Amino acid sequence: MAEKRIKKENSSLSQELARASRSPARFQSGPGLTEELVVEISRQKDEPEWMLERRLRGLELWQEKPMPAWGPSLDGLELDRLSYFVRPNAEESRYWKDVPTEIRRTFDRLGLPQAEREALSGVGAQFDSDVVYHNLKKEWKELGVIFESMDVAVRKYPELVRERFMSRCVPIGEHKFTALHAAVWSGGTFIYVPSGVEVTVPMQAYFRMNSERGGQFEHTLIVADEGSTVEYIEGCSAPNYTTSSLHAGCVEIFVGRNATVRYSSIENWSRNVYNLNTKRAVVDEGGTIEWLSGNLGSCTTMLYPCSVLAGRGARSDALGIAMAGVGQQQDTGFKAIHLAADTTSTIRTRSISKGGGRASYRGLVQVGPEAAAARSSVSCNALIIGSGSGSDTWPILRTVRGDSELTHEARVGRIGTEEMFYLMSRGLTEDEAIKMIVGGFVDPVVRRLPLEYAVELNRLVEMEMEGTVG
Amino acid sequence: MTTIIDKKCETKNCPAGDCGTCRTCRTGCSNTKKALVLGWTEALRHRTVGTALASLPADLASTDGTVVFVPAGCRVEGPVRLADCGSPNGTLAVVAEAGSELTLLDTARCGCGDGPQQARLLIFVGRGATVRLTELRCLLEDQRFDGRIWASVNEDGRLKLFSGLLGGGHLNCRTEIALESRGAAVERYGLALGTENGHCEMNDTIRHFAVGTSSYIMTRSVLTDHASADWRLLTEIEPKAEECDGRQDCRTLLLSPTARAEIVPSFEIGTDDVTCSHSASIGQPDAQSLFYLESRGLPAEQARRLTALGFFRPLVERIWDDETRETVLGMIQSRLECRVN
Repeated sequence: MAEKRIKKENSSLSQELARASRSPARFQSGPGLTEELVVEISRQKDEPEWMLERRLRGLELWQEKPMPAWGPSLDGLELDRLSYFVRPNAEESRYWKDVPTEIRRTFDRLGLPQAEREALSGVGAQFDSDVVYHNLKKEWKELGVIFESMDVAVRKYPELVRERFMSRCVPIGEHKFTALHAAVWSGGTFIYVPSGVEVTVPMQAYFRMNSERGGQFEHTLIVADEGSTVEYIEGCSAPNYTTSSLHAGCVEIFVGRNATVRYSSIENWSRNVYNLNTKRAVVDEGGTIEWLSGNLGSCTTMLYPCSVLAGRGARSDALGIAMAGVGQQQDTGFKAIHLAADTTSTIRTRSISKGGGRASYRGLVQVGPEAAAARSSVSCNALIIGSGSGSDTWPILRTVRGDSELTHEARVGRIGTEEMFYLMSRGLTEDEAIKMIVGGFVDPVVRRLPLEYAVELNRLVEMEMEGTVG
Repeated sequence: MTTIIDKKCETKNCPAGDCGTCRTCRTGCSNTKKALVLGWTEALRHRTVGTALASLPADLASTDGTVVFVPAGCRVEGPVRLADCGSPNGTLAVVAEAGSELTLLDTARCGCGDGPQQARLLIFVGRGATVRLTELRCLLEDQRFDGRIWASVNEDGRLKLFSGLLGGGHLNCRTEIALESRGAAVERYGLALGTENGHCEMNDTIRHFAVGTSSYIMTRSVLTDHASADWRLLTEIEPKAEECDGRQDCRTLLLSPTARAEIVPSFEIGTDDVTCSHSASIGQPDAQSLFYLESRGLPAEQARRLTALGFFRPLVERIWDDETRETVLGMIQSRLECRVN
C-alpha cells in the first residue's frame, strides 16, 4: 500500500512539475555565451560597476581556461547550445500568494510553504535564474539577521558582499566553471548573521531549474560573524528533458571566530543535468563548519565541498551521501585544508551504486606548514548493487608537518547474503530487504538532517531503490 | 639451502669450476629439474623464457640483464640470494613455470656505488606457481634510483613481493601487477625508512582481470629528518572480475616535525561482487607507548627507536623465511641507530 502511495504521489508530483515547467519565461537568452549577454544580465539586474567588472573577468577566464582533463566525461554537455539566463515570469515577492500560480503550485508540491510554517526561520525559492520568493521571520530580522536573494544583496549590502564575493573564498579563476559562474551567476541566497546571534531554526532555499537546455548558476554567500550560529538547507530539482542542462552553482561560506555554520544540501536534479558545483568555507579561529551533502540526481555530478581551516582550533565535519543509478556518475567527495594549529576535520561518506551507475569518492586532506597538531579522520563506505555498477575511491592524505595525525579508511562491498537471508526469513520480500539494508546504510547521514528533510531524503532513497530487484 | 649467485662470475671464469654458488652454476633443486640463471642473450634463445620475454610490453623490452628460470614443478628450497655489488643497474627477470616455487632475496643492488641507479624487475608467475621475492635497496644521500617492477600472475599463481628502501636517497618506483587468470593472488609489501633528505615515491597498481583473484598491499614508512614519502596505490577491478578481494593497508610514522608524507590509496571497481577495503594513516609515535618505555628506564632515543621498530614489526613478520627477516631487521636496526638519536 505504502509503495503504491509513494508511486502515485511521485507520478502526480511529476505531472505538476511538468505543468509548471510550461510556464513561459519573461526573458530567455539565446544559446551560447557572449559579452553582450553578460552585460545584459548585469544591466537587467541593475548591478554596480564592480560586479560587471567581475562578470567580464569571469567571461575572459572562461574563454581562456581548458575543460577539466580529469574526472567523468563532460562530452554530452553542449555548452554552445545552453541558455545561460532565463528569467521566469515573476518578480521576487515576500508573500507566497503573489507568486504566480504555476510556479507556486510547483513549490507547494515540493512542500515548501508548509515547511516554512512548521520548521524554518526563512525560506527562499528560485525558478531558473531568478529568485521568486524570499522571506525571513520577523523575530530574526529584529536581531539583525539578513536573508536575501543574492541579486538584492549586491545592491543593498555592498559593504558585506563586495570584499567577499568570489575573492578570498572561491576565486573567479579557480577553474573553468567558476569562471563561467562569475560571468553569468544569477539568484541564490545571501545570509548574514551578526555577532553572537544564534539562529535556532534552519533557513532554507529551494532551487528549481525549469527550462530545457537551461543553466542555473545561483550564488550563495553566508557570513556568520563572531560567535554566531546558523543552519541553512538547500534543495534542488529540475524536470527531465532529453537534452542536457547545466548547474554550476557556487557556495561561499565565511565562518567567523567561534561561529558555527551548518550547511545541508539535497541535490536531486533530474537525469539530464550536469551538476558541476563549487562549495567552499573559510573557517576562522574556533569556528566550525558542518557540511551535509546529499547527491541523488543528475547524470554527472562533480562536487567536492572544501573547508579551509584558517584559524587556530577551526573544525570541519562533513557528511555525504551519493546515489548513482542507471546512467549516473556521482563523482563527489570533500576537501579539508588545514592551515592553522589545532585544526580538526572529519569526513564520513556513504555511496550506493546500482543499475550500472558509478559512485566515486574523490577527496583531499592537506596539512600546511603552519598547521601544528592537525587532526583528520576520513571514512568512506560504498555499497555496490548489481553487476555493471561500479565504485571508485581516490582519497589523498598529504602533510608537510611531522606532528599531524591523519587517518583514512574505506570499505567497498555488496549486500551480504547473510543479511538478506536474515531479513527474508522474517518474511520480507527481496525488494523490501534491500530497501531496509540501504536505509540502514545511509542512516548515519539521514539522522543528521532536520526531521522534515530526513523524511524527504528517506523517501527519495526509497524511490531510487524502487524496482532494484527484477 | 642458500645459493649465492655472484654476478662477477659472468665476466670471469668461476674460480672453483663448479662451486654451486656463482650465477653460471645451477642452483640446487628438490627434484631432478634445475633452476637456471641465464644471461639475457641466452634467455632469449631459451624456448619458454624467450616466449615470456617476447610477450613483454614494448616499453619494458630489454637487451641486457639476468634471468632466473624455474622449470615446471621445480621447487627451489630456501631463499636464493642475489648478492653482488658489481652492477646495481639493469634488468632482473624471474620466470616461474607451472607448479614451481622460488624464494629470492635480492640485495645485489643494495649499497652499491653512489651514482644514479636504474633497474627493472620483471616477474612471470605460471599456473599454480609461487614466487616470493624480497628486494632491498639502500641509497646514500642525494643518490637517485628509478625502478620499474612489472609482474604477471597466472591461474592460482601466488606472488609475494617485498620492497624495502632505506636511506637518504631519492627513489622513484612504479609497480604494475596483473592478476591475469582465476585464483591468482598477490601480496605486495613495501617498507621505507627515509632519513636525511630522502624521498621515496612509490606508485603501485594492481589490476584484477579474472574471477576469484585477490590482492593485498601493506606498507609501512618511518620518516626522520627532512625525509618524505609518497605512496600512490591503485587497485583496479575489471567488470568481469567477480568474487575478488582487494585490500590496502598503508601507514606512515613521522619521527621528525620536518618529515612529509602523502598517501593516495585508491580503488576503481567495476563490479558488485567484491570485497574491498583500505586503511591509511599518517601520525607520530604513540605518546603513551613512549611514556611506558621511558618510565621503565629507557632513554628517550631508544624508546623512539623501539617504537619505530615495533611499527615495522607487523610488516616484517609477513616475511616468509627467517634469513630474509633477519636481514631486513638488521638493516632497519642499524639505520635507526644511526639516525634516531
